[in-house]
Amino acid sequence: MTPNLCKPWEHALSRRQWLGASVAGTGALALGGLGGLVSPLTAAELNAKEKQVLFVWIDGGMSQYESWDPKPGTQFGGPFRQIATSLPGVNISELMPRTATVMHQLALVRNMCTQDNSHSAGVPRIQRGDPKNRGVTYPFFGSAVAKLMGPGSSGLPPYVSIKPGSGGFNYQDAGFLGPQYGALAFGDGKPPENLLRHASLNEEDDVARNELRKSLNKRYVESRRHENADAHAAVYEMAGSLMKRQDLFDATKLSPKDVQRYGTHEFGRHMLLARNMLEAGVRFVKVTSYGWDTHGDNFHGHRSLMPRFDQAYAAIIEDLHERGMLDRVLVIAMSEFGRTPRINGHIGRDHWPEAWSLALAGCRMKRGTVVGKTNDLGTFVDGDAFDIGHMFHTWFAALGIDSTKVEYDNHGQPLPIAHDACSVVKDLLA
Amino acid sequence: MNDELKAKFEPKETKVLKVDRQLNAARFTPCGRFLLAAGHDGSIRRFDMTAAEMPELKPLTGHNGWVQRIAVPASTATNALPEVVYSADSWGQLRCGSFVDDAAQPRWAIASAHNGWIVDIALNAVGTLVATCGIDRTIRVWSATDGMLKHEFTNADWDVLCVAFAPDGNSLLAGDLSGMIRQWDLTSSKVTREFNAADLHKLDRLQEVGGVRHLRFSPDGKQLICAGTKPKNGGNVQGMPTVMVFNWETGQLVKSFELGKEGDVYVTDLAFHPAGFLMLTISGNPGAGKLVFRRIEDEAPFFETTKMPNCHSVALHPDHLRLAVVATNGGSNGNGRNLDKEGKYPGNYSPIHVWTLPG
Repeated sequence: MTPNLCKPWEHALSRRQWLGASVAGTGALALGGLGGLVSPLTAAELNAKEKQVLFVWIDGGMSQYESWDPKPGTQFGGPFRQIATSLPGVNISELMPRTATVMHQLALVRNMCTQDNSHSAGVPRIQRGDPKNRGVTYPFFGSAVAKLMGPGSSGLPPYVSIKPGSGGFNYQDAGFLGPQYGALAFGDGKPPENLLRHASLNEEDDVARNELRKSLNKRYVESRRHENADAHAAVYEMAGSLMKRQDLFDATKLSPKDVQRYGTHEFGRHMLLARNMLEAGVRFVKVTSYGWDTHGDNFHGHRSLMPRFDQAYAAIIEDLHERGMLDRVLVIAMSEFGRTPRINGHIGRDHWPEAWSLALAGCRMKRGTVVGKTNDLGTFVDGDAFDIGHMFHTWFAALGIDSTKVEYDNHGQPLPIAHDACSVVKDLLA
Repeated sequence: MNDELKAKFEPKETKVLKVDRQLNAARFTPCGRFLLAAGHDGSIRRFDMTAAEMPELKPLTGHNGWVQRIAVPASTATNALPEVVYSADSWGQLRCGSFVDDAAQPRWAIASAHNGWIVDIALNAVGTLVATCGIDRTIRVWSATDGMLKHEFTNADWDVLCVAFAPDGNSLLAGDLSGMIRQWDLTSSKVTREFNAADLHKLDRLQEVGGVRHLRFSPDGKQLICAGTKPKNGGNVQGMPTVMVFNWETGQLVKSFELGKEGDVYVTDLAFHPAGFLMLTISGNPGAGKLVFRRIEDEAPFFETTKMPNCHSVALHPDHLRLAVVATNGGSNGNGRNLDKEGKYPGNYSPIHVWTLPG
């Protein structure tokens, strides 16, 4: 054996470390379809039956003034102008010129009014749909979709997260659903380390090892609670499916033109990977961008941040449309809240859940529509406001899930899948 | 601490001018009769400095968005138009108009001098040229007399944040977001030198943070001073307010000094006192603001006050006895719905603190 190569058991340990977090909780195994690789489905095949989600999480709080709901020339409007879009009569910030050209594909919500103005509480609260407190931790939207819709026929994990920094398995996202519905996170868009079978281990031995592992697991479960063992087995299945799709992470296979269109920056690279994941059939792809909490130097900050968001966001909307995927891929772009009208002494904007915007596209979303409005200064919603519960109902409806009938079963406890005091926003649906 | 300088120049606050909106910059007119202050409402506020109460006069209007910067010719500018202010806004307009007569038509105005936010403006020493730079990554030099375009420098990679004319008037300097300062020869229109101030820049995830925010020359023309922050992170930008000093002849960095801690963040404005020391304003986390007096050659400021939150501009009156500092109201920040006593959503504002220096 070559001395400087890692040992097989080190290899196995590393994989376990990557997946280890998944067995920290408990739950039942329900990852049907992960065991074997199926051929990549054609767009037409996927179109017919499989809806997917791209969830673009703009962490920290994008300013609605410097993006979707500009108020130029007003007290709180900031320095920037607004520009016309491909949707007549609808203007957005001048910092989003490319998005302006795809506005006719979008459904814009300008009357979000949510409940929490802190990151620590607001981030999970928003992504869990802020349901009524029933003494359980609700799943993030990605975990909910993974549970309710399954992984689909791609053979790939149902819920993946592409994010800056480190990867791993975010079992916490799943809440009471159990760890196997958590997010498999690709840190900086890279696959888990040591994912491939080590060269010193041949396929036959690998199969034999896995059979032994399954056998031992089965014996272990016979006299114990099965949740941990099931979750442990699930992540091995997940690893197996990814081992066969290393091509998804191969940057050399990307079109240089696409790389330029999306941008060579972190967000551009991650959005391009997201497109590939969606094309490969992953049910739910989350892309996270950090660094939007612009309490200081908000305007130079957004001047730097927005063009990069604009570039990659517009590119993926164009691509999903051109590939015929926008009819079945629900695209959600949002933060945990907006930013204050008031400009603080550090020339920043603080947290503002009172009146903010998010953008939707695809699936059943009505193309080229704007729902809701804020007052002339942008300080508060003018007219009806929507909470995140309204969005969860609407997103489920777009995915073909009737949130008034479908419930979670939490060990016999029926739970609504979205806030029961909210409802579908019909104006958003085609 | 230089006690001798402190005894000689320590200022005392004598008045606070109330302004109902936020301001970006203030400058005294060369005649000393007016204080001009530009801000977020697209106007240029005027204050009568000949009256003890310094009453506010009718503002100058005609701009859109924010008026980011204003410039008035130095009293020594031999060829300058009389009684005019040059002003630039965030929607791309550049104007030259009377600071005396609020009803007068502008001498000239260019509605689209830049495509969007003009972030800085500078006049040459004799008052014949005005330079501007904008977020369109372009630098333009205009005739100060009639607004005719004289020079244009553009490059997609240069996100320029500030401009200054060299003392001899033959070249122009521009500092950018990446921390690079370039010198253009105005005759050949070529870059002749570069100064590296990359300490003032950081790429934090998607955000380019900091940059060269200000350029000045020492009164003797031997030193080029640039200022900004040494950034730690983007988002809620943190960093050390920093000044870098270059030898103009050799181009070498001769000194770099910080003027606070991380939360103090940006040097927001600076000016030289004729006695040779720098007067600087600093703004950082909400509430953190400073006015600092310091000689470059010293190891520490000889005067510093933190009593004014988030200071954004400093201007010295031509009599050298009065100083105006644009600051911010206290309690300017806060998450969520914070309404005033009348149930209204309040905006912030910029008090102008007038200080008197010893005679």
